[in-house]
Formats: sequence, C-alpha cells, structure tokens
Amino acid sequence: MTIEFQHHQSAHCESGVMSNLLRHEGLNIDEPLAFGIGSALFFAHIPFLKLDNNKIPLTTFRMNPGVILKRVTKLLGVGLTVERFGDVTKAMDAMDRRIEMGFPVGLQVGVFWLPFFPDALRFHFNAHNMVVYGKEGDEYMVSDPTLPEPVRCSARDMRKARFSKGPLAPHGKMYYITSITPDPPVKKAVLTGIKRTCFLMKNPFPIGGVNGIRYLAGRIRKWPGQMPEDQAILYLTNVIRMQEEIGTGGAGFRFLFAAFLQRAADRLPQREWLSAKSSEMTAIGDKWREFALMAAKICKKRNGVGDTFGSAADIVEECWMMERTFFADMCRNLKT
Amino acid sequence: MRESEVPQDAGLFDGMRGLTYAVNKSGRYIQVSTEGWAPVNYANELAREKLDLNLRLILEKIRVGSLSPLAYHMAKAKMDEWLLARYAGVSKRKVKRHLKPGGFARLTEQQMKTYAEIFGISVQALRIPSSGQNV
Repeated sequence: MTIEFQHHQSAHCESGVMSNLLRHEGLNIDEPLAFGIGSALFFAHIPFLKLDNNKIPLTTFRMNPGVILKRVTKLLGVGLTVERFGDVTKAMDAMDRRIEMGFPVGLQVGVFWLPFFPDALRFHFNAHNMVVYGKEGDEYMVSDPTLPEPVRCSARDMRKARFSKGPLAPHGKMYYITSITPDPPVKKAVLTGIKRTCFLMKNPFPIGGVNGIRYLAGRIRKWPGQMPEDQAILYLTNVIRMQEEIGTGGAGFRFLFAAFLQRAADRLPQREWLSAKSSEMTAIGDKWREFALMAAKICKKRNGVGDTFGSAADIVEECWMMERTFFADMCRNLKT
Repeated sequence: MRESEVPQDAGLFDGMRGLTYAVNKSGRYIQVSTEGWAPVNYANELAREKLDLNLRLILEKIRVGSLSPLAYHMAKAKMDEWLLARYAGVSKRKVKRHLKPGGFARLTEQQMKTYAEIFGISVQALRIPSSGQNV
C-alpha cells in the first residue's frame, strides 16, 4: 500500500513535515509559512542543560519541538490526531492501519537509528520528524523533509527509531490530519504568528529570547578562563553546529524567518514595512554567519584563544543589539 | 545571504545536500541546495575527532583490562552510561558495573542478548571490541 504523496525538501524537519502534510490535503502552506505561523523562532542558551554526549551546554535557535505542529494546526483550524504508545507492536500496528486507510502518517523519531542519514548526523537527537506514506513488504516509504528524495526504511530500524530513549523520547509518537477547514484564516494566523514570536523573543528572562543572546556573549567571553582550551573550543564550535547544521536553513533559522516575513508582506496590509523587516532580518542572519566564520577561524588558530574569544563574543553582542532593535520595533508597530 | 553567496563546501555528509534560504537577484527568498559550509564542517570534524580520540582511549583501557568490551560498543554508539541504561532498562549503576571486566564476565546470557540487540550486533561480537557493527 502506497499513498500518492508529494515530497518537498525543506530546511527544517518539523516545519517541512507540517507543510508537506498540509499540501497533501490541498492547503498551500510552504515551509517558511509553517515555520512563522508556528512562531518557532527563538533563542536560548541553557548552561545547565547538557543533552549532548560530550556534555556541552544547550544552545538553541528555535522553540521546543512539537510547537509548530501544535500552533499551525490550531491557528489554521486543522484537526490533527496525535497518538503515543507504550508498546512497540501496538505502535507499529496502529501506523500500518492508518497507512492502509490512506493517511500519510507523521512520526517523531530518534535520528540515531535512521540508516539513511550520514554517520556524522546520527547523534541521539530524539525530536526528528518525518512522514511515512507507504509500506512494501517489510519496508516503509519515508518522506524525510531534510532529504532531497523519499527513502526507504526497514521495519526493524523504524521500531528502534520510534522508541528511541533519552531526552525528548518520542514514545512512538505519530500524528495525522483528520480534518481541514476549506478556507483557513491564513492572514490572521500569519499575524498571530508574528506577534507571538515578538512576545517570545522579548520575554524578560535572562537566558531565553533576545536576552539569551547577550547572555551567550557573556558566557563565550568567560569560557577560556573557566576550562581547558580544548573544551572551550568544543563549546564554541558546538554553537556553530547548532546554528548552521542541516535543519536550520542557515543562520539559526534567521533566514527562514526572513523568508516568512516576505510571505507575510504579500498577504498583510503592512506590505512595505514587512518587506523592510524581512531585509533587516536578513542582515541579522548575515551577522550570525559572520560570527560562525569568525568562531571557526579562532578555533583553528588555537594559540592564545583567551583574548580572541572576546572578538567572537563581540559579534554575538552585535547580533543581540540588532535583534533587540528589531523586535522592539516590531512590537511597537503591531500593538496599534 | 544572497543566492550567489550560498557556500558549497562538501563535508562529512557523504554528499547529502541540505537546503538553505537565500535572496535571489530580485530580492525574493528562494530555497537553495547546498553541500555544506566550511565552518560547520570544521566544527563537525572536531566533534568527530573528539569521539575518535575517546574511542582510542577506551580501546587502550580495554587492552590493559580496566574496562570491558561493552565500553567500546557504548562509545561507538555515541551513548553514555545513562542513555545505555535507559535502552537496556537497567539502572545506571548496573551499567557501570558491566563496564568493568569483572561485571561483564558475570553477565547472564539474557543480559548479553539485551545489550547485543541494542547495538544491532551478535552476542559473539559483543565480546570483541572494535568489531564491525551495524546499527
């Protein structure tokens, strides 16, 4: 049984799955729209959360996994059924049944167990998303939005991936669209998405949102004095990985958000202002790229990283100032 | 980032291409396929080197008899004691015990099977560090 399913590659897994599932139902929501309506842009540096197996503090450029599915379906009036399981066999049977009934099924899986990923990307990250749209013998047809083409995955690997353990364990989570509203309020959803992103980025807590960027800058400055050089380098390069690795669309989702603002400009009355904001966000993204380039250069040189870490922190601080201005202006304009 | 500036630096991803968003000539955002970017590739190589170094240290410790082969398979699967304990359904303390040669020797057949299944290898292969594994 194979469902006719159009695979579109995307930068980020969750927004890609959301967009692909919606397009399958005939709603033309592309990836940037799904990302923006889901208000997934964020920033946080959380030193006491060390999910990495090298024990490196967490730096994230987006909201927690699952938020896009939740927000987008809610705002567009889409019925999404989510199921979790305690038992592997039950989870696999339920998925097979749904596919038989003609539903493409979205899954949360652990990346480490997916054989179609290159080894360098297979770490224990449990909140990857993909769509299964068919089964042939013992193999599933998988549309993984971060890959250019659909792939196949054996039932054995699928079982392992769906019941991966550790932080954010999926517990076999699967979801599928059960109903849609024919004419969803996209405009309203776009505006709500922007507003919520502003709200999240402007939050008063010191380690999340815009403030978190300044916090990261301060931490980067301190790293060389706090730990051996090797570890400080590992910490700094980890920020680069979180920012630029496949799945962010470049510059820690900043370009993806800029693309969303451009789509928002096409739909909302504040057309010119939103286009200008999109360009401003592009400039912020470019600044983040500058940081990644600089940080890699510093780490490569190795000698006397003590003071050079400061110059990387300076660029992060510039990012902080730019994003602070950006979101302050955005809040002001949207209040009225 | 402009379309023309999207980097194409092949890295550790075996030719897998990702997507980035970039601005085209008329100022519109489009999707551009990319092979990777040098700073990220460098960061990934460092992470890989760190894992490899760790693996070599563990192999050395197994050779002198201070760790069991399980330590090798655990590190190869990029796990720590806590995560392996989760997969095996035992306590972290027990996993730590099995990482020592003495504790490893006392593993029951059933426990060996559990570990082997996690790593996708045979029970035989579990006794040998640095065997080819297929997870």
